[in-house]
Formats: sequence, C-alpha cells, structure tokens
Amino acid sequence: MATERTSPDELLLHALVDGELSPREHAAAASRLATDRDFARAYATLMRLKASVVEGVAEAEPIALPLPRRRDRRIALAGGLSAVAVAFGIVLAIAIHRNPEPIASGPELAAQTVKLVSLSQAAVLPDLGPAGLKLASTVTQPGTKGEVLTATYLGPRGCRLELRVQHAESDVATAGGTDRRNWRVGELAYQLTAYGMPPERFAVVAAATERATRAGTLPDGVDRRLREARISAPPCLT
Amino acid sequence: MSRKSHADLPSLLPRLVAFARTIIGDADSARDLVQEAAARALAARQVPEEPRAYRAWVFKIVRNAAFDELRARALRRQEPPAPAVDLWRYDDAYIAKITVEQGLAAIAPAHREIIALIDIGGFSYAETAEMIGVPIGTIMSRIARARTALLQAIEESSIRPLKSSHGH
Repeated sequence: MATERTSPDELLLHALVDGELSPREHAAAASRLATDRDFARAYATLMRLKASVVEGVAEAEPIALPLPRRRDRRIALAGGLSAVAVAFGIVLAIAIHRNPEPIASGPELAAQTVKLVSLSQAAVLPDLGPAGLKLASTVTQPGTKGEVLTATYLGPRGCRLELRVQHAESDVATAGGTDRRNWRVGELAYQLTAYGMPPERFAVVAAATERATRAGTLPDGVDRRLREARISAPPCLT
Repeated sequence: MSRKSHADLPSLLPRLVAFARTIIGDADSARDLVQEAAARALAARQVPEEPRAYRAWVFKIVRNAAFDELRARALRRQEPPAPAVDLWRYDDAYIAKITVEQGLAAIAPAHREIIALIDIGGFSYAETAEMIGVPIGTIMSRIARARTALLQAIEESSIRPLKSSHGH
C-alpha cells in the first residue's frame, strides 16, 4: 500500500462524500464548495465515483439467490434448508407486500408522476426515482370516509416508504415505522412513513414528496438533493 | 437463536452479494459464497440482536469467506472468470458500470475491501474501523487512498464512456 500521506483536504472531501462530517464541518465544507472551484470539482468527481460504485455494483444484483454449485459438506444440509427458508422468506415477503389487484405497479408508475382519480380529489404519487425509491405497489382499502390509498416505495438497500392518502377528515393511522410526516393538500391528507431510513435522508425525501404533492411534480433542483441524500446515507435498517 | 434475529437477512442479501462480488470479482462465486455465509449465519448459536450489530456480523462472515476464497484462488492460481458480456448493452451507463468494475478488479484487495464496506455495505467510518480492527483515522486515509487508486485504474483503462455525437 502506498505510504504517501493523504492531504487534509482529501480527507475532508472523502468525509464529506461519505456523510461523516459534523453539522458544523459540513456547513464549512459547503461554503467552501461555493467558492473553491477545484474543491468543488474534486467533490463532484468523488460523488460521481461513489454513485457509480453504489449504482453499478450494488443495485444491479438480483435479490434471489440460485442454488449453490459448491458446498461445504459440514453445512450442506443446514445450508440447503436455510437457503430454502431464506428464499421462501423473500418470496413470501414480496407476495405479502404486493397488492393482489394493483391499480398500477412498477415502471409505469415509477416513470412519471401519477394522479389517481379514484379518491375524492386527485392524489399525487410522486416519482421518487431520483431518491433511489421505486413505486412497488399501491393498495386501496376502505377508510372511515372513503378510500385510503397506500403506495409503497422500495429502495435497493432495504429502504421502504409508505405514502398513505385519504380524505382529510378520515382518522389517520399512526402505527409503525421509524419516522413519519403528515400534511394536507386541499381535501386530502398525506402521511409518509419511513421504515429504517436515516432521519436526515427521510427529511429530504419527505420535504420533496410534500412539495411534489402540492405542485404535481418534483420541483426543479430537488433531484440533485435527493440523489446526494441517497448516496451519502447509510442503508436502511428495519 | 431467535427467529427475529435473522429478520434482516433477506434484505441484506443483495448488498452482501455486491460486497462479495466487489472483493472476489465475479458474480457467480459471490452468490455461492453469500449463500454459504448465510447458511453459516443461520446455523450460528449466538446471533447479535441489535440490527446494526447484526448487519456488521453478517458482513464480517462474508468478508472472512471472501478473503478465504481469495487465498484459495492464490493457491490454485485461478484467475476470476471473465464476466459475461452482452455486446448489445453498450450504452453510456453500461460502459460506466464496466469501467468501474474493471477499475475495482485492478486495485488491491485491501482497497476493494474498504470501498465495498463503505460504499456498498454502507458502514460508517467508525463501524468499518471496528470491523477491520484499526483506528478510525486509518479508515479515513485508507478510503482516500482506495478511491484515488480506483480513479487511477479507471484513468489508465482503455474503456471510456462514449459521448453522443450530435450534429456530425
């Protein structure tokens, strides 16, 4: 391994890219980004590199694992049973998570902002693709006043968000999740619930989601913040 | 061992495969390795209950298995198999992906490991330091060196993302 010392600026840049700076250090680095072009260029390069590693290597992997080709005899039996159990668990989790009769799912919804007309006023389900979250399913259930729509967004690193939309006068469910944000748009009440997402990242995503439901689409400039919040944040823990 | 202990394992599998793949170089071996590591984890008698500790524990099992595999390959002098290539997927994003993969394959295993732990595993510097058993300052300098090595490897590779040619 190389023995040359790494400069303090380099260490600062990498720590910034990895989300390791304290709020005060982060603010100082952010102000330097605005004034130091070389620093900003190096930061952009490192962010791009990290994003390439995260997206190119991590997100392309399929969830299901094939049966092993090479086995350790000592754990062959336990391994086989366990692998089947894990695979079954994955399939079961996906099956439970999906709506048997989804309004729409997958790329069609992820590709564009969708307005649903089944609620009393059009509900907006934003495209959270820039945040690395894909709309996986939508479920409608009867509520105290009309239908309740629950949209589930999934990320590749264990992140899950649920966006619940219902009539503003309906009782709002508040169970579960690790973080939550509520807001109203006209006659509709929105509730965004996170499962294991780091609070800083959720704050960025929730703010963007709220703005999108008010404006009908993600406002200009939000994409970059969502991407940065995703890349610099740790994976979600459930 | 409680059932709840392994509740996070399915959601960790993609990252574990990507982590193993980054260290040992090919996807098929990485999947086999993670499957065996998952079996070991499920058979363990003592399992961390706290989610972060559990994640670090499982990654450590995969990390140890990956380095065992690298050592075994060195003894067998076996080169990692070339990744399957689909000639008709050569768009900018795919070439960028290949470029990063080739860059990762070209740098030292220790560099690949630190990048895999922080960028793919998503571990903080403190968690990575604890996992590897070095001070946090060492992690800071190692990740800087590793990324510099990766950038140099990409710079030296012959593959470049194609630029679209409008107006020619």
